[in-house]
Amino acid sequence: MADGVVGRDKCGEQRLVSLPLSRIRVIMKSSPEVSSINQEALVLTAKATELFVQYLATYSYRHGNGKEKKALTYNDLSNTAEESETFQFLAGT
Amino acid sequence: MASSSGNDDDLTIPRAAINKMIKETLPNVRVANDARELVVNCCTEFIHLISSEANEICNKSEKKTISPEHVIQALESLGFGSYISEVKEVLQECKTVALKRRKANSRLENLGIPEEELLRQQQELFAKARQQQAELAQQEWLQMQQAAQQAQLAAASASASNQAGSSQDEEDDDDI
Repeated sequence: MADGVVGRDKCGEQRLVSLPLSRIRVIMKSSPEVSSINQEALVLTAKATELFVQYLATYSYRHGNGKEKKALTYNDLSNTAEESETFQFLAGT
Repeated sequence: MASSSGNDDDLTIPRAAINKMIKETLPNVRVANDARELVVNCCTEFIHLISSEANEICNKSEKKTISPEHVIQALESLGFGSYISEVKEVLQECKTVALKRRKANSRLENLGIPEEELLRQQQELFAKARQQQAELAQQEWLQMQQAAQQAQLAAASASASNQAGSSQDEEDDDDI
């Protein structure tokens, strides 16, 4: 199955998301309890993940110490995981 | 932070895709390698989080397949409600594209000719056109050759008649 970037005729997702849908599907199904996933639901998950990355990066940068130096560090990210309620699920990563 | 163990957790979004997203989100910002690696792993965690929640919602709804609605509800309940409007936009685009495609297919079907057959016909037409062009080119080339030969002959006989002046009379007799 082609990556999302060069995806073909499934929702025309080559325009919509830049993450590879096939990989996301595999990650989702690596949880044994997860049943089958509708194709559109997959696209939505990909989009949400994209937003997540953008949000995580932006949030960590803004609240982090590296802002003056225009740098994003590991610590910026881990601080976000600990302090932000939304991102707390990352605390074990 | 502890690293995840187990083979399934080695499965991550490709690093290049993450790098690209980070670059687009924070242009001109230096991002350390270990930070990038962390983002990659966070992605995987996020996907697991969403899919588990969506799966639970799906089970409660007594449906067998996780649907876009389940994903949206999962985002809401996990505190990612701010993503929902953009995610819904993508869903809308999805449906629009799918609808266009269905319409296009049914139009084709109404012609009574399935797509593969149309493709085959197209290939045939192309092959025919190519052949015609090739034949045309060959004809032209032959004509050029003939013309060149005639020109050569004409030039040869012209120089021959110049050289053999004494046989001119005989040749004149042949001329009509």
